[in-house]
Amino acid sequence: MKGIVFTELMDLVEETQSPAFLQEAIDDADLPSGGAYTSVGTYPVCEMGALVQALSQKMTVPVPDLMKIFGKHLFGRFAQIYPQFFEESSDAFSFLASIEDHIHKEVLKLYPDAELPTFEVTTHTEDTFIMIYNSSRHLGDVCEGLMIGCLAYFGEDASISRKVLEDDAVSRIEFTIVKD
Amino acid sequence: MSENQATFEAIARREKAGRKAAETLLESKSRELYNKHVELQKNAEQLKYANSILSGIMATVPDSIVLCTSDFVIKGVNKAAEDLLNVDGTDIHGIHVDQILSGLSGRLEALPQGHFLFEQEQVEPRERHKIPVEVKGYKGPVGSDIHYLLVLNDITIRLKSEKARTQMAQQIDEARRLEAIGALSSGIAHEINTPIQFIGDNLDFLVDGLQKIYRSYANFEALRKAVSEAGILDFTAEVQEINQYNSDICLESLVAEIQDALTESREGIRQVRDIVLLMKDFAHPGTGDDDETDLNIVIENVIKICRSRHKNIADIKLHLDESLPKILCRKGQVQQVLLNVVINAIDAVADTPSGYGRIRIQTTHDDNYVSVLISDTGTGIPDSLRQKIFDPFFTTKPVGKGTGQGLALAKDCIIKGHDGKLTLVDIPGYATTFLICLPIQNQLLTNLHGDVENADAA
Repeated sequence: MKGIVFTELMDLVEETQSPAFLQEAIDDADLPSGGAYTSVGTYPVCEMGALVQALSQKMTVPVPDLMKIFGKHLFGRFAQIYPQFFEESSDAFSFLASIEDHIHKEVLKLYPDAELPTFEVTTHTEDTFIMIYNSSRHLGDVCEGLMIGCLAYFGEDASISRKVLEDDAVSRIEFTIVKD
Repeated sequence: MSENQATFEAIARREKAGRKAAETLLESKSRELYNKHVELQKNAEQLKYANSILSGIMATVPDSIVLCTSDFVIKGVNKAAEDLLNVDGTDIHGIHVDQILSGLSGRLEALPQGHFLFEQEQVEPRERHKIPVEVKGYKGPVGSDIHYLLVLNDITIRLKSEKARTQMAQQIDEARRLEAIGALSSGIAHEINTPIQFIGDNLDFLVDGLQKIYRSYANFEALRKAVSEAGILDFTAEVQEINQYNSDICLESLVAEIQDALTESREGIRQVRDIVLLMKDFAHPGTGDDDETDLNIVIENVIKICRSRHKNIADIKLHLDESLPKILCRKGQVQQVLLNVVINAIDAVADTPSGYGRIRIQTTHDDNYVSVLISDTGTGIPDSLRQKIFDPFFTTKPVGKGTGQGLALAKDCIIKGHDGKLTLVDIPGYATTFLICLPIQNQLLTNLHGDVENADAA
């Protein structure tokens, strides 16, 4: 997993809690890396699981909720760090539709070893957007959080529903976004 | 918050900001690196393409290309050069250019920078004969150093063509010369014919006159004998003087010799007249579109015309078919064809080691064709040349002797002009035999004749 996911999560915790709170969670999680991450590195996905678990317990927030919050926060950060990815999109649906062919290609230029999820758009109308998330990371909640962040970024109101198509070695989730 | 804690947090924030700046920088550099990499890949692909094109050109260009350093060491050759020099590319790397083009380096060194051309050089391939080549090239910077780029072009075929063209031009000149001589001969024959005619007439007159004088002399002799036998004393002295003079000049034999000389002269003049008439006939064969021709007579005339040529060279035997039908043909052309073939036969016999041989000419016929077989015991025609001998300007005779036109014209005349046949056949005992067949009913000439008649009628 790319280091930016770790560093942005830790930044979120530091900002909303405190550096000491984060350190305690890191200690609780007993991470092999000791919690030393850089955004450009790649780290075992299990460390993310352990850290999120520790944070959930300390914050008494369920993991899915925590992940959605983090996803929303992460989207906002992406918009700050990589404004060039947003230049060609005027609304949330068109941005989400461009992830697979545009943003992921750019990411792979810098990180050819990155194991990115795939997004399969099945419906793209003015009001409805249906997309299937595929990943072995099982981060459907983060994905939903990112969608929430995306809608917020473009100032659009919509409801998101999800249907798990497969949840085994690979997680396949169909997200349906309908504008209000 | 204690003062220390505040300090540590400030340090942590600064370190974190530094880390983030380093991460951003690293990502930026990574992007630059990626873009450079993409650019490099594109350049590498262009370079690879350019290299493959260059390799393709070098491998397929028909000219031989040799690249030498400034000290004349060969650094590279293309496929055509490998073939020309009979070497593998690696064999020739590092050798001196003079080893393939003797003495070339000296002349290259003397050249200024730029393009150059040596029209004819000799390249020395490995284990093969020298090959004439044209050397074009460039002297100057190739890459960072001065090089010599040599482009070798095998000019063997071109030289052969030029030689053939020169030979053909000589043959054309010879043909023109002979044509001029032919035209001159016509005039000479005409000029000779008149004096020959009166010389012949005068000789006839002299023979006739001499016979009359001889008859008068016989009467006189009878008188002289009678006077002598009668013993008439008044004329004894005169008779003795006559007897003495007649005895001194051998009068009787002198008269006989004069008669013989006149007879021989008359015969000789007849022969000259015949030849002059034949020459005139050859020079002015007429239109001859529908000459009714006896080929036996034509053959006899041809033999007479070239008698001086075959004398002491060939024993010519004629086997002429007495029942040979006359044919409709262009007599002058056919006569010329037969003369050409017979002269070739005489020349072939003359070229044998003994310089002497036999020529056999036979005429035959069937329902459709009259045929002439002309055989000789000359040098013969090699199998490799049997197809070429009818080509225009092909000759094995030295320049100035053969025009290479004889058999080509013969083929044209017999096959195209008369719908006949002209081939080489094998007859035991003879080196070469030409068979000429002419149709008894010549459809081409019959048609032509019909067209003319129709045109006249119209």
